[in-house]
Amino acid sequence: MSAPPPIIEVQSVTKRFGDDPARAPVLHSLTLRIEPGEFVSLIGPSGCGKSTLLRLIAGLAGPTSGRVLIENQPADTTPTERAFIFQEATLLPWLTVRDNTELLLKLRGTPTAQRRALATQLLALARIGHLVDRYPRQLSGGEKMRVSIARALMLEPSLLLLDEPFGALDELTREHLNEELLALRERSRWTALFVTHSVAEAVFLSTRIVILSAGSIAHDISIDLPFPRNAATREDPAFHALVAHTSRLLRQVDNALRAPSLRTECVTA
Amino acid sequence: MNRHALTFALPVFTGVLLVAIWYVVRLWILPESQRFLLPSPDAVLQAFSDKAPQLAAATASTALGALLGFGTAVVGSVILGLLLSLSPLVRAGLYPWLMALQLTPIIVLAPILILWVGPGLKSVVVITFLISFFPLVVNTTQGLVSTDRNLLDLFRMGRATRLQQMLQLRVPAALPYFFTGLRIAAALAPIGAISGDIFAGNSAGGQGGLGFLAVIYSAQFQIPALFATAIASCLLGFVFAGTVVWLSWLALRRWHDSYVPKDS
Repeated sequence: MSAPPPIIEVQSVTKRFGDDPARAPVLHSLTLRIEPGEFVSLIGPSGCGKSTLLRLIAGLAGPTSGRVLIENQPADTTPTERAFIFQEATLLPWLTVRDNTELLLKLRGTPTAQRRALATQLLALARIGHLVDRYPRQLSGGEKMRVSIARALMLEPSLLLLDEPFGALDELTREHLNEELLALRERSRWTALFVTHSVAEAVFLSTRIVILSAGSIAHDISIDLPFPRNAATREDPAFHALVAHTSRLLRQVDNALRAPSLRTECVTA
Repeated sequence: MNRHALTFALPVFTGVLLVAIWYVVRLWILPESQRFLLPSPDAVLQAFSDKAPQLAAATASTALGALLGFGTAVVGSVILGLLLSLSPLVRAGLYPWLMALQLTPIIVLAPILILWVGPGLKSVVVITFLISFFPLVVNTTQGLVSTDRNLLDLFRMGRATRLQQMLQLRVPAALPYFFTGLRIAAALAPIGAISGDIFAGNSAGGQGGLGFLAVIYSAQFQIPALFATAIASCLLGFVFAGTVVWLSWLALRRWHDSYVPKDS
């Protein structure tokens, strides 16, 4: 019996913005394989291709060369259900929490009763069941992001793509949301690709961390902390050791980029 | 005194002060031989009362012209705004000509329009349309093309059709821009209608508007009546602007930052 295909297969992908071939690419011959059920975090210096890679996998942009496959299908045509959580909560300000949560299923013509039942369930799981009639303007940053997560999970995705979703939140809210995200994942086991600038967050959430540098993979680190993870995990010496190890590798990558000969390779998308 | 009471009291106080200055200028600054140029506030109120039937009829005529011109400008600008938002090439092709139309003084266009559509209400409507149209179409188009990129990506991920994207995302997101244009146009519409009256007003069949009345009172040197006409024009402007501000409040009050109290 053959092994199941990887859920994400990035094959020698180069991505360049603009028509100037002399301009350094944002992604450079990048190859990455992610198996179903993995939680992979992408970290690396600013402007070195993390968000661009996420957009390629989401099918929101195409590569200049190479291929991005989702369950063996091209990313822009795959039927595999993917959901994207943006840096901002990206809620429609004129819709209530309930209507925002139901939006994607409404666009697909899901019957009202069906989507309402699912929204009620997910909003309760995201601990904002009491806010259904509020407008985004009336929510805190953390509450907005909870709505955004609930909305993404309404699609019951196989693959969840998260582009620095907790970057603008305070440390405590971020930690709570990290734990709630993992709790939600326990229920449906989607594969996750998560962009972050926080090494501790990446270690806490992930089964694997990929460090990008100048559009290529510099390090691929396995995170073998046991699940379920919770506040106690952050006290674990193994957690601290992994954070220290990953931070050291990230600093090495950053120092290499700051060397004059390589500085021009870091391209802002 | 709380903030709300102050909001009402301050304009009243300013108004009383202005009327006092008006009396002072008339009685102590203007030489007696020129006082007829600035009638006293009570003389203006008297003229307002004496000419009430004529002013009411003229205001109704101007309001009709303003409403028809403004209404057609709203419909036309929404249709053109939707078309312009669909393609940068269409925008590039049409925008300079819209600008040219806006920058051509209405004073120059009015005689041509009168020749084309004849004097009276039709000319007034066309002139009002032209003066109201540009801010509406520019703001509507700007709103439709300024949709947040992440929200557009969200709709793409949701596999929304172009129609869903337009109706459920671009149009509601453009509402604040649209209402900004609407407020500007609502302030311009009565001005356009009164300008139209001045150029193309026609009392035949009782269609003379406020502009037409102002021309008559000016020719007859009825200066208090001229001031009364100005007050009627101002009131008409308030009704137009106030109605649009109210509509804007109705549409945006629940969600737009400009209407949500800061402490909520």
